[in-house]
Amino acid sequence: MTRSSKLEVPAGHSLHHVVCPHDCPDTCSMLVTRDDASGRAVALRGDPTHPITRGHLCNKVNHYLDFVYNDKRVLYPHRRVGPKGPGARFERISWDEALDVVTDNFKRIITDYGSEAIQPFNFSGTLGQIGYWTLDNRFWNKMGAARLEMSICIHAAFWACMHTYGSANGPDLAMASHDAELIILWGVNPVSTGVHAMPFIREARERGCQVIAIDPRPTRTTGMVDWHVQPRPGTDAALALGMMKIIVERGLHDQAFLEQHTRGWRELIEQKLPDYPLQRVAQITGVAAADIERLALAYGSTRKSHIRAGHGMNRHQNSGQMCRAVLLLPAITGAWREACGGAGFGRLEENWNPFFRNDIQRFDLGERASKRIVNMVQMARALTDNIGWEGELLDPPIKCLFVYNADPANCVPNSGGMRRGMLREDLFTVVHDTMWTDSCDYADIVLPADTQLERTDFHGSYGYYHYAMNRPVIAPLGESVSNADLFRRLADHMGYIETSDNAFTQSDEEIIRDLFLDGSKNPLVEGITFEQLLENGWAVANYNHPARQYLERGWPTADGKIQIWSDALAAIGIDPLPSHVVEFEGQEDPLRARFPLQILSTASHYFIGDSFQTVERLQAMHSRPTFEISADEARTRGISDGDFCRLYNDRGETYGYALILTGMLPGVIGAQKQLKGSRTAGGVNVNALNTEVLSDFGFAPTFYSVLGEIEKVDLRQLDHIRLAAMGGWQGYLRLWRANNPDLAADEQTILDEARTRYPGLFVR
Amino acid sequence: MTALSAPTLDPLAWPVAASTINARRVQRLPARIAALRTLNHDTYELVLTTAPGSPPLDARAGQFATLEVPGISRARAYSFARDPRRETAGEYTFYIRVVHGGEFSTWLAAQGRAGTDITITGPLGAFTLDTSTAPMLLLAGGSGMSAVKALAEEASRRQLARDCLFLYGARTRADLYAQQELAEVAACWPRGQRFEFVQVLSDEPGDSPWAGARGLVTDHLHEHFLGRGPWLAGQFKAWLCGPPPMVEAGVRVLHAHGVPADDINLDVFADARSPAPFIANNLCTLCDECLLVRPVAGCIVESGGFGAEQHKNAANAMPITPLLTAGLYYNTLLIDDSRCIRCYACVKACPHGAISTPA
Repeated sequence: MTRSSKLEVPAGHSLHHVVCPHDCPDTCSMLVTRDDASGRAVALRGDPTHPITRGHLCNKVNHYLDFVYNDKRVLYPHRRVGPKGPGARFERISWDEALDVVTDNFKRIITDYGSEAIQPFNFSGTLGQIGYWTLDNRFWNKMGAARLEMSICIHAAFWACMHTYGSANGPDLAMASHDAELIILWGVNPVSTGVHAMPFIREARERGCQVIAIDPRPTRTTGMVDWHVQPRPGTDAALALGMMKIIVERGLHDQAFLEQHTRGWRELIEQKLPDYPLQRVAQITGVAAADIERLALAYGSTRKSHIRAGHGMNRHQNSGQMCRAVLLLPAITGAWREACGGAGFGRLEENWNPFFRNDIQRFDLGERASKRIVNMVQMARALTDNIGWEGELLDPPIKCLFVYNADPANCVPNSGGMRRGMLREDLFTVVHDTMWTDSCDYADIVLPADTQLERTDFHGSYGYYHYAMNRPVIAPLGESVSNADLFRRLADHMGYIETSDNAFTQSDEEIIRDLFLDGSKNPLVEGITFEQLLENGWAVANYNHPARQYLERGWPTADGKIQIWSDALAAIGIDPLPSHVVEFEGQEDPLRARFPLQILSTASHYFIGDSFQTVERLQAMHSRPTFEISADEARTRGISDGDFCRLYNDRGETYGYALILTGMLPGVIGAQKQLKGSRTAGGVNVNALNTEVLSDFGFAPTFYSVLGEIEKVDLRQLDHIRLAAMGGWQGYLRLWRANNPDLAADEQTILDEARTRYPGLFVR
Repeated sequence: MTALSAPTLDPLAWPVAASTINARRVQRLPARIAALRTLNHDTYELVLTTAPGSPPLDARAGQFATLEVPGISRARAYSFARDPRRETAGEYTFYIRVVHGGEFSTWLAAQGRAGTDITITGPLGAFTLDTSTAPMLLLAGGSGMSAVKALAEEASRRQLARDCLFLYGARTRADLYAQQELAEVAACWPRGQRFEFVQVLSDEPGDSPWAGARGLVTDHLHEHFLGRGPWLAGQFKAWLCGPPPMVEAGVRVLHAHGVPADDINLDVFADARSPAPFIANNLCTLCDECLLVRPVAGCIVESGGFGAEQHKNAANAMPITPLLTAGLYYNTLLIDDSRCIRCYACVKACPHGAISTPA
């Protein structure tokens, strides 16, 4: 346990460095005050010395102590008693018993079906490098479990970056804000998803920098910039290519840069740009021709331009091409020449790739590389229909789903299918989580996970250039354990420890000191010491490393050039030049005749992914699912503000409340991702409408390529909807009995009571 | 999982806004009057204790808290009278001057208040020591003693290598108090540094045995110290706390000597005539930082934004535009003029420049 001396604290208290572990580019450092007598954390604030955190936190993490000390926490191992599904009941068991049940099932399944039948499912419950993917991967590698393509987040943008720049990352927004003359926030809403960018943006504006937001939705961010450009969803590639055409025609491109640093510029200008005349781009994007011209000239008139792109563009079926087109803009104007210049989605590759190596992941422990891989985006069909990534039959079927760092019952596309798959009686499911998530309802065993105040971990930031170390401040609550310790315990019960070198005996501290901070394998950590992190909590990354001087040393691609033309993409049948591709279930899809509304289910301001829905205040602030809709679209459907509505397509339906929003485009609905299905009327969130189709490249989900229709629902039907979600009156009876095991009421008594509470509903 | 008497069909009945926020930077705690004793004819020493296990108020010397008792209309602000680090854990000491017609002090002065429950909220204010080593000029009057004495105590405890002059202005000898504590501060002042405590009486009868300084404390400062020794403009820092006329006169004197405004720290007793701050919703990111430093309940109002009803009492409400408020995140923050105590903690806490004081 480390103590900080950054602030004075009262006698009997101590101050500690903590890193925010949640899925956000900011990776804040926090100072937590502990009452040493009780061992309780009593106060928390942003570290005022941290260059990005600057002493303030977001609306989520400001309430982190309510997350830690929360009565929805899983504090002990539990075993399900009674049937799977919503309302499932559990009884507390010991850790030994839980580990026996889990490992006995592992061994049974390995014997009967092979290790491939065991499917881990995990994502970004913590972004700590240890908790995210170190001890767990060592364990699965040893076992030879099925692999998981962890592509649910920003894989399309990631691969667009790789295919274009070969993993080069530009300046971060904070650095760029000091001298940029133009900042474009492209498909990103930092007010809700990375609020520490906002003071830098405000300071840049006060300095005279123009800030433009490009987003199909009006957001709180788009209300804080100089200009909001609102293309139709899925048309950003056309917008970027239209901008390039104008820039080249006006001679605002940097010919010398193109010749020296890029490959394929001639093909782009001669073969591709002629396809994007202004009028056509205006027609595709819905942005007025004059505005496209103004945008192009604003971008072309300065090299001191910085494009911070976000997850929005990454969630379409044509994401890869959209991301590539936007990423190439600074190569056209030569903005990369400037210290502030460039375009990026944060520093994705640099933050993750250096930690995906054998000494950390221990691929050498087994033969897992040859095992099948299932894309997490397609987990629903993998479970329900045994269909794999390439459409192949999964043989053996998945027999064990091991969930940690994730809530798949809500977070994957086709969440209704996911829930049906998780209901399979022959599926053995383990959920390790901090909170009782909806996924727990489908688990055989639920294991308690800790919070960031209770563990050691190491964090990079995917938005900015710093690293941070987290040390425990309080003892684990109940019997909760960190991800790393969970897999150490499992390794022990599986008998892996003696045969795995030091993979499971290495401590968290040793992993950080000896592996993560090995500067010979990752130039960005060069010079950062364990002691420095202990003392200060965080350290600035070594971003001036010579390997990162791309202008002088070339880009990390095969020929050292920026790949405007990508052979790698050509090889997989994708247009090697950036281009606008009409997406499935987008603005041009004929399916719009039946389902005219494209649903953008974006991040809620009040939650991070699935997390924080158990914090009372944040729940109250986002008290119900809403469907943002334009006044015109609402009027034609007879919908008023606040009406209870059904949003549906052929794949599913979800319920919420209409919110008529000035500035919404026609043909678009705004909804919130990952709201708990158990908190909605129909029992599933908007992901029930989404497809398992992958993006053009990058294997990413296509959460925004989804068409639907909305209708007003009579509130009197609400009870019927809820009852149906429960499985009808039989489901109600089952739940009642499960919830009241000690009351021996007969069916008639229960139904009579229900008829009194919900008149007219319980008619047999 | 908690057992329900019957499965609920009302999943949309989400809880109302949380009443408890553990992570508040400004804590709002139930406390009890542990001791109440008179210091002089019109000033009480009030000692409050919070319940065992309560989070600490985590104050620095010079800061203040608000005190609320049932039946008294508004919260009252009082400075911590001791260096908080020297207090027993969970104890907070205040000096309360009985003001004629003052609702709270009159209530306190009534019989039998010991043991009464009271709500304490703090810490608030930025009237704290700086990090320089420049000599410290402390100027106080009335119950301004408390904050300034706490500053001297902190400097003494931390053994700061700074000279210190503490001028205290009062009318007569009967108004003086806290001499014993200041004698202790002087005794513990770091070796090689000067600490001088000067009491200046303005209305002491000429025939009294008072041998100390007489006149207005600010005149005394002007005539005997400024421009002499270490008290040259730009070379020392000043902290002024007390009745507004005294503070204003002190600032005039310092300005006349060319002391830069940045070197003068003021703890003005703000009142309802000062303007309430104002939240610009087109800059507000709803990050909750301001809500964590609220000095009293309800001074910052969260509005659902769906009806005008909630906004009636809120000061300076901007017109609600659906784009920025209700329509987006279903939530708008407003400052309620009638509850705001003018502590301006929210202005300081806002990282987005959204809260400001109207000029």
